[in-house]
Amino acid sequence: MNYLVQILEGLGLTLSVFIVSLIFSLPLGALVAGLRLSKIKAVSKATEVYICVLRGTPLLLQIMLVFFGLPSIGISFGRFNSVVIAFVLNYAAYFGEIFRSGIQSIEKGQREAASILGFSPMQINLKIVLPQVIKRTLPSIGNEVITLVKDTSLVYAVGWSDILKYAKGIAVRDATLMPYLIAGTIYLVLTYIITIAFEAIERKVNYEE
Amino acid sequence: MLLQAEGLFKAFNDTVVLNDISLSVERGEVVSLVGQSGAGKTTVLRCITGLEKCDKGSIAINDKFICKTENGITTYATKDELALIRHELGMVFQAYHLFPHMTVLENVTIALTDVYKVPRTQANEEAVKMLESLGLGEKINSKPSQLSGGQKQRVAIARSCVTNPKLLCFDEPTAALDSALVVEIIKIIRNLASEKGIGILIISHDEKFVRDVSDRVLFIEHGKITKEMTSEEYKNVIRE
Repeated sequence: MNYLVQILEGLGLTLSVFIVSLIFSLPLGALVAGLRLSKIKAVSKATEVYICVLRGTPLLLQIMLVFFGLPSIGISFGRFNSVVIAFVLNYAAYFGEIFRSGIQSIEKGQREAASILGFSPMQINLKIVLPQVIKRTLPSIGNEVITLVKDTSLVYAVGWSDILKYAKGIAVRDATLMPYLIAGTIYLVLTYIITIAFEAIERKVNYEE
Repeated sequence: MLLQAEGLFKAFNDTVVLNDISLSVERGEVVSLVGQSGAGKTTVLRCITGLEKCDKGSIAINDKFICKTENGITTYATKDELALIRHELGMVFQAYHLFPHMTVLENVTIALTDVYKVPRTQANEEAVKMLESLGLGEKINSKPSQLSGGQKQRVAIARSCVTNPKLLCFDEPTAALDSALVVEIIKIIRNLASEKGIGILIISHDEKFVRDVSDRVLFIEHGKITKEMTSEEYKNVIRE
């Protein structure tokens, strides 16, 4: 019980990094998908490079680059903002690709039918495409969100104490594995809550049953 | 003339798909365009509905031009002009393309409320009336995935007709229907033409359906219209 109370001191940080990163990376991911599908080749290509770099290098490296690297050229965001910026940029690349595949999976005929009914391109995107994209991409988004919870443990790289860092400290101090088990259980509970939430959303947006 | 298309040419890369196609449809007339797969039927329909741009030729719906060739230069309707022309146009796709996340009622009302800005209560009344006339009164709250092929077809017809188009195009309307449903669709199409005065253009390769539904039949081969028959002439050919 004592271990649990001590480890839970890191929960606030874990949750705040998770929530802020999620709030910003989802809309940025939608923007990335839009830019990736742009008919302007330079825009599409530049977005492709962004996605390639962000998905092709470790998130830990990106966090360190933003927190330790950028100050050397005079740009400093502070600890929390640096971590969140790295998380948002990284996850937006993944979300962007998920949204892109969702958008491309919508049959061309849906857009054509809507356009003959007189819808503007904006109306088609918002009323016809978006609801279907949300439904189709939810399982993949859910996977990424679960990964995001676990990835928050990377904040140790900037010297911050989250759940795992607290557990490690106690384990070293008392020579016991119990704190790790408790930390693992906390992550499990968090991911279970997310899983339940996504299942509920999936049921709500499922139009095929 | 409701629809007037003259001298349509269309090529995809080096393959000529439409080669000097001309056709017309009058109010209340049912015209079918028949031909084998790859003859160019669907491309004609896509050009007429503005989903595809023809390379050359003129298409006018109710005297409004989708495209026009003058002195060798082809000009096309702007997006705004095309949007206005589409107010006079409806299309029932072969695969229906109902919006799967909406109920039957929402599928039929969405154009009324969101494009034509009809108040929701009025849109619902009009849509329910339309759906009831097509025998779908009990399905208004169903999702497209809960409907049979024939029901989806009728919802697609209701969705296209509720905005009162002057020209309605059908792409292979019987492709997924059994013979009993084909008879039903023939009745619906004939009613739309005779009672509402809608001009109807159908592309199909179902000879019996074309025989029973059409006033006039055009034959297309390798992107050219090779023959034209009245309904009576076509009936004699099919009987033989």
